Amino acid sequence: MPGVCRGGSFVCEAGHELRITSRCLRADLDREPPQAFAELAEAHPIVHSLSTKRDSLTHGGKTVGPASGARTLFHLGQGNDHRGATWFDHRERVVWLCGYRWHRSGHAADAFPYFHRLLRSGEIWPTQEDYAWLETDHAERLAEELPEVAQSLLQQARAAPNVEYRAVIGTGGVGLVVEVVATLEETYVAVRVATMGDPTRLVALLAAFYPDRNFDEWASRTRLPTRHLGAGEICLSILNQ
Amino acid sequence: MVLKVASSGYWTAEAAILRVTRMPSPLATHSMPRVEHRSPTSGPLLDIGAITAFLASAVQPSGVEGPTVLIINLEGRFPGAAALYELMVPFGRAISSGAYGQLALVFATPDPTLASVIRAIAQSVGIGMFLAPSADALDEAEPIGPLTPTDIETLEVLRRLGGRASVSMLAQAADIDHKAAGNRLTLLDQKQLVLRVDRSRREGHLYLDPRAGVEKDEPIGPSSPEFGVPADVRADVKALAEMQGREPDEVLAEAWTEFLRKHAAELAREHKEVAEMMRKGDKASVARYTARHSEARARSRTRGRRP
Repeated sequence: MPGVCRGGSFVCEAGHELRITSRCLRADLDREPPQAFAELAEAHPIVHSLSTKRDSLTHGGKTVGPASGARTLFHLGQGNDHRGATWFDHRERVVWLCGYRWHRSGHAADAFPYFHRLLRSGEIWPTQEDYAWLETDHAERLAEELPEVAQSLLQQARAAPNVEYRAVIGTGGVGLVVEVVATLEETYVAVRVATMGDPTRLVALLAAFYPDRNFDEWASRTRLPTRHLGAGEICLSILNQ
Repeated sequence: MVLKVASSGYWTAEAAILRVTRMPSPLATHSMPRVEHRSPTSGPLLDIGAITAFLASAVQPSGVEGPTVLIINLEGRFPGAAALYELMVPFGRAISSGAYGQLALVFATPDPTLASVIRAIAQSVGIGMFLAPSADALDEAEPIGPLTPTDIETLEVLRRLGGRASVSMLAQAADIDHKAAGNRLTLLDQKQLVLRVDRSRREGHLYLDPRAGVEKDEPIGPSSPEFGVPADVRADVKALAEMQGREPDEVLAEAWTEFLRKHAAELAREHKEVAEMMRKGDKASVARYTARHSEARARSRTRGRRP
């Protein structure tokens, strides 16, 4: 089980996350979201199975319903009794446990007719509530890591001027890609804009580097001291005091 | 984040957070069509009732909210003649009538015989649609139905323009007068071979090539420079970058630089508050600040999930 439980996610070493939809929690596992993944993994065999069978592979061998490209649901089993349906959300890099039921072949309450009903009605997919919860978890992770990582990066850069230090701040799909170069006069921070999401992350990042300085002390730059900016990067610098 | 093209031709970015007034734009950014996939049960398709039920579940009766491309995957499905007619004709006519809004229909099959029959039906009943060799190859789809050589040429020009153009853009690109360009796009619109975005008379309508549709869950690797960018913004950036002959990530970075310059005062105010949180070690407040757009982002992730 290579990975770590963070809030409602199991963050896999492979880079993706495992989560459970709110509908599945309420209707199938009888839990009210939000729930910590760690507790659920201990409490329920299908969640344990999710963390052991989707940690390195995002899909299973059999589908639930027809294969439908990026919209294919996969079968997740635990022993003879427990069955789940998972979907890999490429965009968010999250494997969602979308449904769970007991498996009793031929029985009206069997997992697979239930999954097919949810699929037909469209209820099986993650909803706005699920994505809002995901966003909140991501924000908490970023806020947790930002001050320490920013200061550590700054110390490294100051200790070796004109050398570029890179960090990915945050885990899973929330990594903010940052490069820092310190010279005797200035500190340069380059950010991969596609990882910023919205301006709040940049503001928080700059405040984490120098909480005692003002935003207008940062100047836009067209290059780092060590190299030209890569495509999709922006750079700001601040004079050392 | 909303990206727009300023009148000077470069990109600017705007954040909803700042509640700034939108600037006038000659090409207000619109999302590219959303792609939705539907697949009938695999195997032989002979039951007309099952086809009717499938179509009823494929599109909500109220239609689609925005330009949408519906791909019906027939790979591994073997429709009988009556079932194929039921799948294509009443549904195709309802789409052509505009009953479902701006919806384009694509059938996907690798089977050349089935593809020939689909072409023949579309031609004989006069319904415009697209035919793709697989559900994952929308960009390879061919327009079928009552097409003229001019229609085909116009669709090709539209594709060269990044899959999105106004009448004046088409006129310029095809080197024809404005009225002729308008007539060409209107005819394609009537055949449901382009999707129309209604805009003011001054701006003129925008026409979208369904083949430029964006997968809601388009896979992107985390190492990609576009990773983390919302799909609709990514599509806008890509389309406009193609028109400008530039790289999308270059355009996106320029948008951010312009954004920071334009909204420095608002960002400075927020920075002051966040810096105070950092000094106090108040991580919960920092988390609330960076999550302030979570509801809007969550909405954008589920938008257009069902047509």
